[in-house]
Amino acid sequence: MENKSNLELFKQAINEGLSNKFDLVASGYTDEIVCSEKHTIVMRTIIFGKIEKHRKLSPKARRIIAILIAVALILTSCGIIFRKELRAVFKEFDVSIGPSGNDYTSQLIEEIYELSYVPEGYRLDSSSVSPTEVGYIYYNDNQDILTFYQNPLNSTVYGYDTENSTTTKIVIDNIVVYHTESPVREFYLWSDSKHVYEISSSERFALEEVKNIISGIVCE
Amino acid sequence: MLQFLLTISDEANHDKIERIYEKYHNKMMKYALSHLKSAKRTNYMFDAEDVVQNCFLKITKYIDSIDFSRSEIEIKNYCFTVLNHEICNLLGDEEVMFVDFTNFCLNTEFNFVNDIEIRERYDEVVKAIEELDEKYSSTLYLVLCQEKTVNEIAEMMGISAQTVYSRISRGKRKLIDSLEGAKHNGK
Repeated sequence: MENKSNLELFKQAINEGLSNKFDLVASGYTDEIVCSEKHTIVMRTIIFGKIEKHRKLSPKARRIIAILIAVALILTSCGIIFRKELRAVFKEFDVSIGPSGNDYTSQLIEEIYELSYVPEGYRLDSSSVSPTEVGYIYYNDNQDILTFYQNPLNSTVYGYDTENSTTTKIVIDNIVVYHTESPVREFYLWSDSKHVYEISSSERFALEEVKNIISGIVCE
Repeated sequence: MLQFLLTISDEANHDKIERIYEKYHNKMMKYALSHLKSAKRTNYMFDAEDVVQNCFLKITKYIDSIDFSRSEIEIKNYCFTVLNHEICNLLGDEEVMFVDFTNFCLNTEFNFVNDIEIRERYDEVVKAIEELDEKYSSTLYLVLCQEKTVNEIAEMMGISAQTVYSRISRGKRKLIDSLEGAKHNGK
């Protein structure tokens, strides 16, 4: 006590007196303390909150999660292995052909064109003629398809799925033709001042054969 | 809830709060129940749980300000002080006296310590502090022993700075009166 200043002694006295007072008041309650379940839960959350947040999963939950992960991995692997086949299913619906004859167009077909030459083995299967579209569909014995379409230039929109396809520009009889090549179909697209023309085939023709087809297009 | 979960993300702090809980929770419940029952609170059990929960939330929030290298009695006094202030806030019947604290200075405020002959009357001083209402003695404890500023105490206890000054001033006055009375009775 001699080495301490008056203030330090006073602080010591406060500590002692306060502690005694707390003990005295607490001892004044002699009943048994039964805390509610809610209080126990709240106190556990306050004290052990961090552990509660990281509660471990039950074995059943872990099994379910493991199965889900395995299924997801299998599906992903199948998707990667069979991606080309999967794409082929969706590709067929991605090719859009110009507006049907019932659609409004600001321009109508003035001259009707047709193929005067088709590769050997192909026969006309169907044709359609309307003010806004002319179409011819040919098949051979192998069920390979060849089509020819003619639409007005200013009111036609052609759409192609460009995934896994290439488009190049070729010149046939001084006509610039856009050749789109995909695994299942070939497209040849060109236009003049009035119309847009398209030839498509499932068979891959040699360039000479394509030239023969295009050169053989005549006005009816 | 998220705040104190973030506060105790540190493993060391987690151990500290657990230690305080294991050592003092039961006694803190008894203290709260004793106070609230004598204050004739209708649902004193529910209120006691409430104040103890709030107390632990506050202790957790300010866990870094607790110096665990200090004596056990100081850690206990700190925890019970927080609890006492929660009880006072709940009861809320304190008449705050206006104190001009513009010239408040700790060094001069407690100069009276040199006049109370503490070395000769140490036991009397302890007794006088025991008899003092805890809201005054605990505020003096925070200011002198924990060396908290008035603003820190106000923020921690959820009271105004004016209330803190009022408690310091009243506590000091009552302590001096108590010691003067003891001195005269002794004669």
